[in-house]
Amino acid sequence: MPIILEASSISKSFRGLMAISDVSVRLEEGQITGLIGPNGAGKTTLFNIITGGIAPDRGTVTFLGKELGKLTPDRICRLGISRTYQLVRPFLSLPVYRNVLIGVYFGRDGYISSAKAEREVDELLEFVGLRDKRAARASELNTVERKHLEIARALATLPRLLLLDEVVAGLNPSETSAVMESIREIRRRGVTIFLIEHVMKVVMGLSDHLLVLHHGELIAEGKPEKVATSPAVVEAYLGHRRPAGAYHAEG
Amino acid sequence: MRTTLLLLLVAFLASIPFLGSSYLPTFFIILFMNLILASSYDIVGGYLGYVNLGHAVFFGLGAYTFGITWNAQAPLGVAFVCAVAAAVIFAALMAYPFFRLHGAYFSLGTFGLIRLFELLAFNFGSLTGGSGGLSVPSSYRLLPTFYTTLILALLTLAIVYKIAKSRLGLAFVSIREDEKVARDFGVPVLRYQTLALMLSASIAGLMGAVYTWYIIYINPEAVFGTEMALLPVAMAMLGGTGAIAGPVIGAVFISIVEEFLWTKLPYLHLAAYGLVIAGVGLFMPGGIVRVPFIEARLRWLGLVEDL
Repeated sequence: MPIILEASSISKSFRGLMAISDVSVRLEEGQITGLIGPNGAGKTTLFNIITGGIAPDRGTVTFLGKELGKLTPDRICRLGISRTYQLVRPFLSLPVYRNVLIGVYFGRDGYISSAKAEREVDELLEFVGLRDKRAARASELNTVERKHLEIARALATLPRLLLLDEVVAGLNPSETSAVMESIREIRRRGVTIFLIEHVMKVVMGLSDHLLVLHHGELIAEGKPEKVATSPAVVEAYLGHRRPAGAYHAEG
Repeated sequence: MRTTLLLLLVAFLASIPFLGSSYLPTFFIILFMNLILASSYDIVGGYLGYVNLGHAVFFGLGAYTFGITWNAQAPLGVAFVCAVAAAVIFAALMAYPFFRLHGAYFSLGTFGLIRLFELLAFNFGSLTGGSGGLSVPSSYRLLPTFYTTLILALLTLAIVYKIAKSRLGLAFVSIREDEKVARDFGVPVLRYQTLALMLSASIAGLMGAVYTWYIIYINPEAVFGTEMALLPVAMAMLGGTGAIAGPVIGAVFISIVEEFLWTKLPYLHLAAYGLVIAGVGLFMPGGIVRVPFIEARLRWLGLVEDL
């Protein structure tokens, strides 16, 4: 499979605190790549660097063979990268369909007629199950609906690569499986997916490839089953395993 | 039905000068001017979401540019065009530095511009006449001004209505809601901010020129003063920002209240005026148009658009 996005040797620090340190990532087209790591590992920072919201101190991001360099987020979006947010950020006082319409009108290259745009918005709302909430303000939606709205808005830009930041956080098991099914369907439509997730069932169930960030460094990558059981990853999540009897000896 | 109502209203307004009173046209010129300034302010204040306390800078630039070019023997049309151009060019120039500021900082910064321009107008005496003010040749202009401001008011409302319904307006409100997210979803934020400010400035600049033409004498305080700066903002907020009917209702309300208070309470009118605004702010948050009873009726008329 060709590489759709390549981030090479990315480093970023905030006021001396290293958020990302020499991280390189390659995403294969058509795959779902999972990104896990403890809180503060730099996962969302990596997303923000890819979408252009944050400029890295060092390193480059190449998307579809084009170096993103200093491109602004709106240009990067129109090139085909879209995202959702960890803490949902719909345009609260706008009606649901207008939220999605923004993605259709501005997030793509080229002009689209209003009639066609409205039709596509309805299809997207149908896909995420918000058709009957079309005219409601986004502020009237609950968290689950807001997450679906964010997915619809992201798809509205016709992304080649979709970044999902903890999209199932806070959902119950049945809502989670529904979202997982949507993600699989999105991939079937040819969209490459890069997702941050804490819920292991979701990451393991969806990912073709798994990356682990810890303290801003990539500590493991590969097949999900292999990575999840590797000693470095277990240690990052659970801490260092002391030799048997260590407590006793120290006491 | 709605169109009929609207046409009737326009026909009524157009016939005001024939009602026999010379006071009514004078009052309506002020009302139209207030409406034009409040509605044009609202493009930036209500749709883009930036409280621009420097809206009067565009008005004043238009007023002075018109006066200066017309006095320099430029044809009337050219003087009007220059006035609009001055306001629009200044808007384009200030967009980049000022839109780096957000929230209260943007408002403070633009309010500072008002003072800056007032001082410039005072001190560039050779151009502006300084504190002595600027006069232009006079002639009979009551009715021409009445119709000019009426047409400009209708034009302003048509422009704002069109913006609100278009994808341009959608870009503006997306920036108001969350600038970072708008940018992440393909909206070139600075370009739309600049465009909004230029549109807003063009209308205010033209109104400034018409004002000088009508009133024939301007001075720094009259066009760059604090009252001129705050009035459009107060009217838009009072009526309700980000809805086409809001600034209109605010402008009508304030024009009437001011006129009434000025005649009945010559000494206390500013205090009473402040009380009215504070009262509406306390009891009608979101402006008059957001009062449920009123909102429902305006919605029927199609005057509170779906954002």
